[in-house]
Amino acid sequence: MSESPGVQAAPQEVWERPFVRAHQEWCSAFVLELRLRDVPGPVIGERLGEVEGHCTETGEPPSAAFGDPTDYAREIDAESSPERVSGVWAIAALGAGQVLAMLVGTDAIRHWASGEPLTYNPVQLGCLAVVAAALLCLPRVLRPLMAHPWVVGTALFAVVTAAGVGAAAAGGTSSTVVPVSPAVIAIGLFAVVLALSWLEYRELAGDSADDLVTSPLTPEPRANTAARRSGWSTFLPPLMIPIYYLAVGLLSWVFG
Amino acid sequence: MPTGPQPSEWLRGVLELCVLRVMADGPTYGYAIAGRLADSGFGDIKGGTLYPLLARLEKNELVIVDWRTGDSGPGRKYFTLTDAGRAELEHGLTQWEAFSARVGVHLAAGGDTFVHSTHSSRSSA
Repeated sequence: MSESPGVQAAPQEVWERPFVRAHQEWCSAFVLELRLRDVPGPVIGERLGEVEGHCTETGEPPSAAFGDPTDYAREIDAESSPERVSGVWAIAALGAGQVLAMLVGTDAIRHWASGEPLTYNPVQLGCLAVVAAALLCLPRVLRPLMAHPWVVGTALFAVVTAAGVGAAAAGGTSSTVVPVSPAVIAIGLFAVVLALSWLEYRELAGDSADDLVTSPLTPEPRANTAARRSGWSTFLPPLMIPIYYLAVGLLSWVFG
Repeated sequence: MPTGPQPSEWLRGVLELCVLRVMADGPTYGYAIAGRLADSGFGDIKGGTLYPLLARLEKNELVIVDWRTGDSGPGRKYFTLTDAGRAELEHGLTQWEAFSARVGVHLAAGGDTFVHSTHSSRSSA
């Protein structure tokens, strides 16, 4: 997008910059709106660099020079090159796959622990499909979720809870026996969860390397906290579901 | 004769041409462009107005950009006209001269030229 002789030798995340820290609310809203529009991190950093450079020279706060951050983000994005990132959809799909494998797998562990065969019926399959659909549409509902967290969040929670209750209630109805041992299913799906976690980690690590919101401006003398933070934020999300899977499995064996 | 700031609708129509004209003098950056426009009597052009326009010029490849370390401050994004940008400026200047001349003639005549020519054409018909 731009040539940057000399200035971009050591890209620095925008959150490390004193200007961004001083105008945190405005800058966060600006970055959030561009993120929701799938604008790549370095492009967002360049737009924020324009704001910082201009405000530094005029002495104005960004709200005075550029107005409302969300409106300005929409306007500048409408006039910019249509570069987009799509990693969020891949991560949503991987996350949905992990959750489905976890739901079926932990149910298989419960049956394994009690010595019963794993069964299913159409209602339970339908409820699983509803949960999968809710997870897959998360990137699409992110904007209304941020704007109305209680309304949209409660609606999502209600849908997922209803699916869970529906699946549990349907457990007593006539079911088909899965012709595979619950132990094989539980272990096999744990392997699937681990594989999906690895793919999610790869996706997040790729994003953290290529899609950080880096500033094109001269770096400020403090940057390493960003690297530490991005390392943890890359590592933790993919591990959460395998850890939960193991914890539920353990509890099923102990109390099942 | 003292004049106040022009209506914002007028400026919106010609701002891109005025910015291209500033860039024709050499590579420049947003704050300097705003300063040149203010010196020319266009008033205070806010960043929220100027930078979307600069982004559009960049998207349409009328300028190339590069970040440079500033004398003071963290750095500046410089804009340099491309050949396409110079062609756009020439085209815009030609169009503007024709348009402003037409408006000038119309305003000076108070619309008489239009009424007169309309009556003439009707009479001859």
